[in-house]
Amino acid sequence: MIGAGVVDRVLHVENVKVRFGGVTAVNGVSFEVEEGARWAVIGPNGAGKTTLFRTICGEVYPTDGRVHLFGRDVTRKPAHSRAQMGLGRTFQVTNLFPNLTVEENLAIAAQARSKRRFVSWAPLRIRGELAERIESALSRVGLSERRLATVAELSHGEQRQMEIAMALANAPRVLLLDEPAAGLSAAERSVVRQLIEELPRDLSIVLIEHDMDIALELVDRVLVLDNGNPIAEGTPDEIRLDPKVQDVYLRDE
Amino acid sequence: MKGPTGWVKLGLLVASLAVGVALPYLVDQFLVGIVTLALITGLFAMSIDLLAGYGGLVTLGQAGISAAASYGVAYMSVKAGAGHLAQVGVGLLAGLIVSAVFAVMIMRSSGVYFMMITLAQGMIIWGLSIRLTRITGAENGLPGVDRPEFLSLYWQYYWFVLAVVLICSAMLYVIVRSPFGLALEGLRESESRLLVLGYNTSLQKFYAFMVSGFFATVAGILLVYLNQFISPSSAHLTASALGVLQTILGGVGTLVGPMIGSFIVVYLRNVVSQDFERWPTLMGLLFIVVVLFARRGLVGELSERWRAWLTRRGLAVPLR
Repeated sequence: MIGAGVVDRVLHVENVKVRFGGVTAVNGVSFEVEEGARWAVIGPNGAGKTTLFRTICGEVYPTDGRVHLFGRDVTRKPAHSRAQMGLGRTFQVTNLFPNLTVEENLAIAAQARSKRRFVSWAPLRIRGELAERIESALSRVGLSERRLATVAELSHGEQRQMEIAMALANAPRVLLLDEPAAGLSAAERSVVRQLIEELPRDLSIVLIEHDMDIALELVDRVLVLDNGNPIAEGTPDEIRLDPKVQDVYLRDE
Repeated sequence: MKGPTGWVKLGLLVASLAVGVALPYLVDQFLVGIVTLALITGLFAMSIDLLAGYGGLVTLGQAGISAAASYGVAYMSVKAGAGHLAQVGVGLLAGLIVSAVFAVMIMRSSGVYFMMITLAQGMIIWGLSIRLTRITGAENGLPGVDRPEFLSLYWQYYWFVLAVVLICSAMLYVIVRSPFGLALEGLRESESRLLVLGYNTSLQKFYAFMVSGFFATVAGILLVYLNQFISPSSAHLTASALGVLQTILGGVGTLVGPMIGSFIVVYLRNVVSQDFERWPTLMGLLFIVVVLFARRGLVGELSERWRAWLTRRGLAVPLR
């Protein structure tokens, strides 16, 4: 029933509209993400990027249009079932478990998609595949030394790295990154940028970024939003030269 | 055993177990009765701690569940004249059914809304216990709930309660250290993060509420056999709030804290009150002191200081 082409397309957003009362936050956005592709959604503040993300995750249901994940229509599926299918996200405003340790945070993420999360009659043991995933997430973001610190004790930069580590421990197939470099210094930004560049190539990524320069260096396709409307789509080079995009960004400056 | 903390815990456990088992030989009937009561309200407070301390779900209606279980037992004993097995069975059933109905109502709420709904739930049970005269005896309550022959003496019942509370504590201890327990702490910290990781948080709340309701049910059954009496005040908000108070006093999210808080409150209420009429003032003052100077509660504050002391000496070990 499912053709090869459908399986390759991991995420398909089809003419999505989101209205809050009289405000149209997202107005007819469509795009298709193929397996292993890296996309960026850019646009000035208030363009509807985060609302679009929330629609893809299932935190907000669209007023109109459809969302397909791995060839299945998930438009009305709740956020946790989409996560179970392999959709991960990070948050623009750090959203971790502050009073738990780094390791405990990652354990919650790592067990989230296994049956083990229901076990209440035996103590948690971090071992096997669970331990491997936590280790690889820790070493990838360079927080191995901090595993016993509570997240509240981490610096802002380290917390941003934890955002990505959490998503990795959850082992998604599609990862939505919501402004991963938000509020970071230039040095920290380059760390995060390298981190994203080195993510496994079979992981499909959709990235939101306010800063156009960072976004364009990391991805192979770009979608530009303005006031909820899609105004351009193409490769980073095409987008850089697009006069409409330049207009939007110049107007914003 | 992990490091010095493990040895201290083991030492305290063995010491308190020894005192606990030997207690009927050490003190008189009155004090054994007081300790029996403290153990039962301690179990009740621990059931609140599972929700409030670990899940971040502060309940104000837990006494409604316990009272439903007590009424189940008392009705079968006093009104129906059934055997003890049937009494306990109906008590369990009543507590669990009420828990399930309540759990369905709260599974989509959190924070203040959760508190308000549970408050209302507890008061519904209180209202029913006053109105359903034929089942509950209204204000007069149901007196004369007899214990089985082998538990009829005060020290027999004390040992029985000690055993049941120990088993329940061990179960709670395992639950909060399980994968489910860790995810429950995640619920306290950030529900939105849990959702996008793939946790069905509504189901999680339902399950947590049922587990907590089970222990509150056990406490309700133990209590009605201790007092041999049940009346509407057992379901009142005051009873639920007292459980929350004990939890905060001892230390939210520590399990052993609520038990210690319960010993303090029961001591004030039943022993100090004999010589000192203003014991609620004393309790209020104690509560203020704890909130001001030991915000984590007695046990929470002590263990935090202990951990800091160990860390300074480089002896700290991972929690898990």
